[in-house]
Amino acid sequence: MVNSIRQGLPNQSNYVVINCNFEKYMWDTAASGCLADQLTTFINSKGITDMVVITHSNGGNMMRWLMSNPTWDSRYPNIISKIRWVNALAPSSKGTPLADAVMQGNVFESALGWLLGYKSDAVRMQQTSWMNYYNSSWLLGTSGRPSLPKGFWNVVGTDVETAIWDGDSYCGGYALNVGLEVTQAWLNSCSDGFLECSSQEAAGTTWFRDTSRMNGREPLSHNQSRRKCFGLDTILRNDI
Amino acid sequence: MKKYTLLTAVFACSLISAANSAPQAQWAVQISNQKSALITGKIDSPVVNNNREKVSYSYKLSTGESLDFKAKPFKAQSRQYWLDSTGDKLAAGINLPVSGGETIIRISPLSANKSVKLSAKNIHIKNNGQLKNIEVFADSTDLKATGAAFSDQSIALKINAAAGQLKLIIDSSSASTPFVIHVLEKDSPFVLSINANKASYKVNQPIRIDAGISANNKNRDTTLQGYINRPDGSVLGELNFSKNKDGRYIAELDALGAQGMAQGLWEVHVFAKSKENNVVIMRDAQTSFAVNLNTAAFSGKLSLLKNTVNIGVDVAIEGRYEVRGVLMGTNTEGQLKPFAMTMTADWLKVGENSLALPIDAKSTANSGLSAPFAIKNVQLTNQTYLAPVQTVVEGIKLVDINFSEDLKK
Repeated sequence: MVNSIRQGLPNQSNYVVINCNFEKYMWDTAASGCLADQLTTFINSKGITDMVVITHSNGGNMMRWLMSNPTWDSRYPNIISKIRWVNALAPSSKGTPLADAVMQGNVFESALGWLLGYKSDAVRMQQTSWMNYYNSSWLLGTSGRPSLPKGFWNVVGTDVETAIWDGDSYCGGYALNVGLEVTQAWLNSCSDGFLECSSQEAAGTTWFRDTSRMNGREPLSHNQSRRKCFGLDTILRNDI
Repeated sequence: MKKYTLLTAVFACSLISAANSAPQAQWAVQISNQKSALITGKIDSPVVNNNREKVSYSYKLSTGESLDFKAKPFKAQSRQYWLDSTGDKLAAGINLPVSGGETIIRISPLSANKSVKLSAKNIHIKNNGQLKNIEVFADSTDLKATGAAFSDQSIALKINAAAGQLKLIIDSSSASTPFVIHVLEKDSPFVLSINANKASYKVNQPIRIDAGISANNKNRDTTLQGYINRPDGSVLGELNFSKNKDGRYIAELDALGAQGMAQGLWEVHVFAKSKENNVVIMRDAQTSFAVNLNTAAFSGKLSLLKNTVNIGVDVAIEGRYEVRGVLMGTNTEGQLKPFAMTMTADWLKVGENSLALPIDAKSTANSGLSAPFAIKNVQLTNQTYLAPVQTVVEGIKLVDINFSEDLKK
């Protein structure tokens, strides 16, 4: 995916893949602090003046945290000044009922689950009631809230194809059928199998819904929207 | 002719008034002195931001943005419940009440022992005494492939149930292993809804929880239990619900205990039971909110300088504080419209301080808006402990200011 997208750059070495602990809360130094470290190093070492950021899922919340809280860290304003826009692939802007399902439980499951390392801060944060609060306070860009300082463009997955005779269902290498039959019970009819469309479209602006732009009008499941499926990589390449 | 003369006279007076008044900033509502109510002791919460540099930032907003400064509380709705069990209880069989229809049962062994593995062949389900076929069985690999963070040994299955009882029996599970059983009745008309009356509370303010099971828009008699926990997991108190005249159930607790939110939010947990034709309906739900951390407060002092508004802040516990607001001006129809977001943060020591909120003269002059100007939704936050401190939605009035002239001086 990355190698395909960077072909759209005038200088194909001017890219960085961020590797931070995004299992942590968005304000954690291991998450947004590390993100700021790596972006600042990239900007300074390569002399970057114009940057497109591509995120997937909760990565969108990490970038929204940075753009919503420029005063948190003196490095943030400089990073924001270099961002042309953010292309957010299936961002979990309003969280997901599946985070509620795996987190809520009762005290017993929560306590033991944490001890056994089942859950991460990031999953906890993406519970729907939690994201409702963060969207009303620490995060910008949702309905009724001031917009973000730079554009936040959503690519939205609307459905999951699991037909056994359809090879396209397997792009990404996952046979999702069985798990999705269960997880879709928590989601409404417009979802990518992990996030409802309303969550993916809650912040910023919808760039496009999958079936309007993907080859063969294919939908993008949550696993497919971070992979080289149905021409997504080409669309992103042409946007940078 | 008379009317024209009068208008001219009023206009001339206002010009004289403007010429004689220095531009100033005024709080739109009275800011009461809250010094005595501030926390002075130690905050028993993790520190998440120790940065000492002053950082200011502002950027342009579209005047067409429709802003709503009132944070809405979340209304949680649930068609699911959870039960604790153990391996030996599951071997004997446990009863799960269901209201009928498509039912998902998720079974989670809470054990680090990877040998505790569940398969379809050692799970048996009877529905009102009749053995049921499992329509779909998803193991943890199937579940995790969807992107959801299910635990390593969690499995889920789907059946079509008749209203009544499901008896869940699991063969040869380790006797002492604790399990959590999670039941989702996706299409059930019986929905538990809960909400707090605010998204964010002041310290000591009553937290009012509204809860109840309804079906087809009718509230039902419901037995409710619940509690509120703080961000560190400690229990604030149990919720004692009483029925109101609308058939909903209300409980109140005061927001006590100063905590930052680096560990998460304050949470409400509610467990509900109702009955329909002798079939038990069980539902659990959770929602969350924030409580202000009063380590500081707006002092009420304001001063307007060349391109900043200095906002007085009384600080009881030193830390990194941010103030932000939305700059607004008036359009030709007399409506207040946003044109910029402005914010500043700095490390403040105990005592009287101020934070200087920048006003970008260029974006102000280019907004096409004119006086009266204002800064709305002025928020003070403690970045050290990740906590809201104080919000004044009505904000600050900028009086007798002509941005195109005054800010150039």
